Amino acid sequence: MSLTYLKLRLKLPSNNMLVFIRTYRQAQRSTGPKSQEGEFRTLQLTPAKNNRSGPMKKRPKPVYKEVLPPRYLRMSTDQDWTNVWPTATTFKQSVVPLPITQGYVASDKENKGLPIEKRANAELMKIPNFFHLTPNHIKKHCAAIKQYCTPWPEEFNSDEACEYYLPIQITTHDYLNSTPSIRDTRARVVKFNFKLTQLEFDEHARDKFVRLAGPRYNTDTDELTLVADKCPYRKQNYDYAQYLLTALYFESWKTETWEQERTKNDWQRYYWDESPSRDRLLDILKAHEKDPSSVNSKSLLDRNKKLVERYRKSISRVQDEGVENELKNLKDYKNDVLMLYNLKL
Amino acid sequence: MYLPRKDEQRQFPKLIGHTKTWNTFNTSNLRDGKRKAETVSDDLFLRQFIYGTWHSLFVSELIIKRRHNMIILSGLVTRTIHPRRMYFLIGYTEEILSALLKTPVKIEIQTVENKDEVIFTYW
Repeated sequence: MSLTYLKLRLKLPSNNMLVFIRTYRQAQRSTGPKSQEGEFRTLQLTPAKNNRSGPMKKRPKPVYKEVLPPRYLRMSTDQDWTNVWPTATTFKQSVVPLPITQGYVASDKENKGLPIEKRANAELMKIPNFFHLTPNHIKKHCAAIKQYCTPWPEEFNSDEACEYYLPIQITTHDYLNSTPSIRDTRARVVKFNFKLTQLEFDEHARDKFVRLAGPRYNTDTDELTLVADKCPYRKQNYDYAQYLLTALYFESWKTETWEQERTKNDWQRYYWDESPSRDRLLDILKAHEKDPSSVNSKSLLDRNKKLVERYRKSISRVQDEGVENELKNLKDYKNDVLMLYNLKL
Repeated sequence: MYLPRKDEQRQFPKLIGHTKTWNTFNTSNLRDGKRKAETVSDDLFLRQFIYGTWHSLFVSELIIKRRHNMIILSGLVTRTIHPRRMYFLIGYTEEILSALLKTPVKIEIQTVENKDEVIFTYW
């Protein structure tokens, strides 16, 4: 183990002398304490801390196989995207051939003022993407489902036709959650919706039905809405709504004994046949006759049927209709009354 | 002294919803959403688990997405370990987490050469 020095002396034209010294690196081996003659050498089975030779050796980092360039560089422009991205996955920057950027750059200092590329961009991975629902995807989905579908019935070609063939609408809701449980209490609600023209009514039954339904009946659209949510399960609510409807209908056709006690304040429309106006009219007509007591009221009315009808209609209109046509109705009434009195004149 | 800042750290938490987006996506905070507390505690557990299992490998925050019954974990990972070991880690996390949380768990990570690739600005 000898140290080698090489001294080169260059004689240059000038009088300066340059000395180059080339040294060879010392081999890395533990030298241990320089033992002098006669000194006892200690036994060292394991390398002690003190005799470390040189700086710590760095374990060479293992170089794995080189990572291939990203896939999008090898994609053709007319490839089938549905095969590249069949299902919903997080954004993969090496698969998407588009130069997408995402991120907020405040100034020129950040990222040299450039928009942040998709490579190593966590923000792009966070957001949901729709690469799995391109038009081609949808086409494929539809083609796959089509075999289970039947064509739209030709009879349902307008709203009225739909209403005729499908008189009642039953609405239920289903809810999705991103949880392991599929239960949702809101799904138990069942709503029945239909127009009263679908059912058979006479005047009393219809009036009673509407009174029983209360706020569930919409006069503008002539629709009844039954919402059932009392029971915990949808089927139970459905059955309950069906029962409710049946009960309502048949109950409206029944006439209770106390319904005869209806007074003028309970009339839902002007019943001329029970009103004092009819009696008054009869009196007038009777007075016109020569022999008042012997005349039957019914025959009187039959004889002057047309006039009576006009009078009845106009006074009913005055009583029933609201403020909008009041002026017109009153005018008509005046004319009809005058016509009635023209009998005598 | 310069400190490297990733895009995550550069955007303050107050900017979530403005120039930054959430790290977890689920329906629990929508109107009449279900299972709010359990979702949050599951999220915390998942972050700790991944932090402990993937030793210094994740370079970004864990991104947790919930779709129907599934949990999908995402993130950026450095390539310090052999790919075979990474495959093992992926399989192991998926299995263990699926068994613990009783829902299918999927991992969709992207790899990055080293931490420097995610650095976006220096402060």
